[in-house]
Amino acid sequence: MTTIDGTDWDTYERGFVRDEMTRIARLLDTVIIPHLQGHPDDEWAQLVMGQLTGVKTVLELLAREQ
Amino acid sequence: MSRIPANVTGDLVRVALMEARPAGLSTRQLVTATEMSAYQVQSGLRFLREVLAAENLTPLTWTRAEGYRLSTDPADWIAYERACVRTELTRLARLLSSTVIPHAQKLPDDEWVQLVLGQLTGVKSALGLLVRSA
Repeated sequence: MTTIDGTDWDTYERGFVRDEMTRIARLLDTVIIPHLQGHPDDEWAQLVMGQLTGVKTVLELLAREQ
Repeated sequence: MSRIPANVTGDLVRVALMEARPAGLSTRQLVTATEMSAYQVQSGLRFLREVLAAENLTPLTWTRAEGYRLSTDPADWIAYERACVRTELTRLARLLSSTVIPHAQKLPDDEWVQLVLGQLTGVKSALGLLVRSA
């Protein structure tokens, strides 16, 4: 039998979600937003901005779930 | 050695990378070019990434082959962004296959893990779409 119980998995998943939220926020703030501010018509940057903003919101909501 | 403020280390790193254009510099080359310690170069890179990138509208990019660069070509930024998204996709896919999916199969009535499974599967699709888009 595995020794991993449900709580350990929860803790690991929650830690990952929080960590991932930080990584996505940093990518947006340090790379995507400066890119888009300098080149507002860049379609790729707009697409990444839109998708990653959505991803960040999902991760934020998951991190808040009890 | 006395402590150098982050805005100073950041500016020294920025100048070294500007002079190296269009090439990039590794951490070791930055240590030589700026005559700072590896720690100070790291502090400078952090300041450059978090503060100066937004001011100068020039993201700091990194590749294994070329090191750190302040490229003015958006094609280089796009390549870096794509690589970053790919890294996140890989991390997420690994979490899903190694932890979330086995967890969800073991506890089919657990609301938290079912929620995580559904949402992260959606996130994985969004990131996959970005990586594949031309």
